[in-house]
Amino acid sequence: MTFLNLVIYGIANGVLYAAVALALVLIWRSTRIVNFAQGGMLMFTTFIAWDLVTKHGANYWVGLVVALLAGFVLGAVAERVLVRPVENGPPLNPVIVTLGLLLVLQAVAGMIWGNGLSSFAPEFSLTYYHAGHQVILFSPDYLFIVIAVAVVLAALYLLFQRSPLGLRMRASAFNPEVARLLGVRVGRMLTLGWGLAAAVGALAGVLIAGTSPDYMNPNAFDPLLILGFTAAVIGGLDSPVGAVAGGLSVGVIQALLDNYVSNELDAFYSFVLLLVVLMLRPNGLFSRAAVRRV
Amino acid sequence: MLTLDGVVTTYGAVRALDGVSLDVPDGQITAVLGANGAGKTTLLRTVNGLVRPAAGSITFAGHDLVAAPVEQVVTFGIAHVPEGRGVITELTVEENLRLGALWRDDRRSTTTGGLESVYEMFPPLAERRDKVADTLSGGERQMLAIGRALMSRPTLLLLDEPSLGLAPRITAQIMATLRRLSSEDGLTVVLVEQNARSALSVADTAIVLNLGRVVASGAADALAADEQLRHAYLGF
Repeated sequence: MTFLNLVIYGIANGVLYAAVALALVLIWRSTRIVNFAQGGMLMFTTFIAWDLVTKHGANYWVGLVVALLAGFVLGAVAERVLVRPVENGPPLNPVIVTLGLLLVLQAVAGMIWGNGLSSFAPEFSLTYYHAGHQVILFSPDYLFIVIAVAVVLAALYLLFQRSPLGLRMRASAFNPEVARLLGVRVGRMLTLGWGLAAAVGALAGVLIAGTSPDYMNPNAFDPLLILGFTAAVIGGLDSPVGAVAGGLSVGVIQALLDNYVSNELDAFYSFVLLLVVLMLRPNGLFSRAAVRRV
Repeated sequence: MLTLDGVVTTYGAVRALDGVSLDVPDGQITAVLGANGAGKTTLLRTVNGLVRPAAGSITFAGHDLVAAPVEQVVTFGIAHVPEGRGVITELTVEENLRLGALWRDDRRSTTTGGLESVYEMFPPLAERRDKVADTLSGGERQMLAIGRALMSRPTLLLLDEPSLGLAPRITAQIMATLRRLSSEDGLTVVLVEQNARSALSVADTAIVLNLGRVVASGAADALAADEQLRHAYLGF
């Protein structure tokens, strides 16, 4: 029963890592950039939601929607203003730009909201379910998290696989030059892709902030980025399905190690996992073996 | 009519096109011939805006192509089949085809007809419509690239080395398809080819490029009959 419980708990947390991994994958796939600022962006948008809900008495759902919109705008503006000018330069330049943005966002958040700890109460209860006398490591809040992420994944799937806009976005990601020849405004698709990715990240930020008290702090979201990045690498960085599978794996592995080894080594586990995956399967566990041929 | 006048395109110090002037008559197939590095591909890339000329003008049906963004060129009725076929290998056959018509506002009412007519023209594509383009053979990819270009219902089709890497039988099929599109549907075709023999067999007129300059032009059969020119520039 303990094992099953840990798997459930791991999956519940894993969907959050999956969402962050997906945000990273969407951007990597279209622009070949690892968006290190993703952690900062989702922190910032979560603070905006928290500010609205706890300081201005706004409804939780209003806060959540505002966070998603703010994430979209932040992602789109970052692509248009910061990333576009360095995109065709040396590959290190976008890395430095996104790292710089991360530091700026954390500093500005500290200036506005302070560097103390605050709580962002979730809409649903954190009390675990029971089956008879047996505690199940799953709460109404986690149920909401799983459903919210699943809805977003389904919406993204429909967008990318079933809509003309999604077809344009995929074409722009896979072969920008051919896409332009076919009349696709590639620049606009990239901006939209960054916006969507950041909105997915924003969702993960608001959701994770509610999972424990005193979560809100400008640096508190760093582990989420690291675990999300690990999940994305496990998934092969290129595959949205891989990102989700990677996120769930990271969540479960983390839950098992926390219980059976020690729960004080969280960050250590994710780095070891990252190293092991990079050494054994540098293309990720879910990547197709085929090298791209044109 | 597609008209180039004194077009100069440079890559750094290299003049890939050195004052090219050219009239492509409507409804005909114009072959652009020449050796590797003669500027054939650069000519097409300059026409559709992927490369901007340093001097000269390019116009098509009243549109100034030098000023137009690449994304807009297809809306003027110009479709491009890039070298190496430019099929998006991660997408399915049908997605590639649909992509060709996406810019058209009227696609909803007509896409089905467009898709079906391409499948009719290239039956192997119909069998593989849900397969990822990565799984296609070279000939099928060429069919897909041409079919996708036709989905935009162009009046001018630019083809870059469609015979590259294809078996002679497949090349002949592709050339026959182009001939039919031009004769029956009035499509204007600019056919860039290193394979001069098969290009001249279907073209109405041709030009020969050498080091970025037009060194010969005229009716296709006249060029094919000019033994000296063939030996000097066309290699057959």
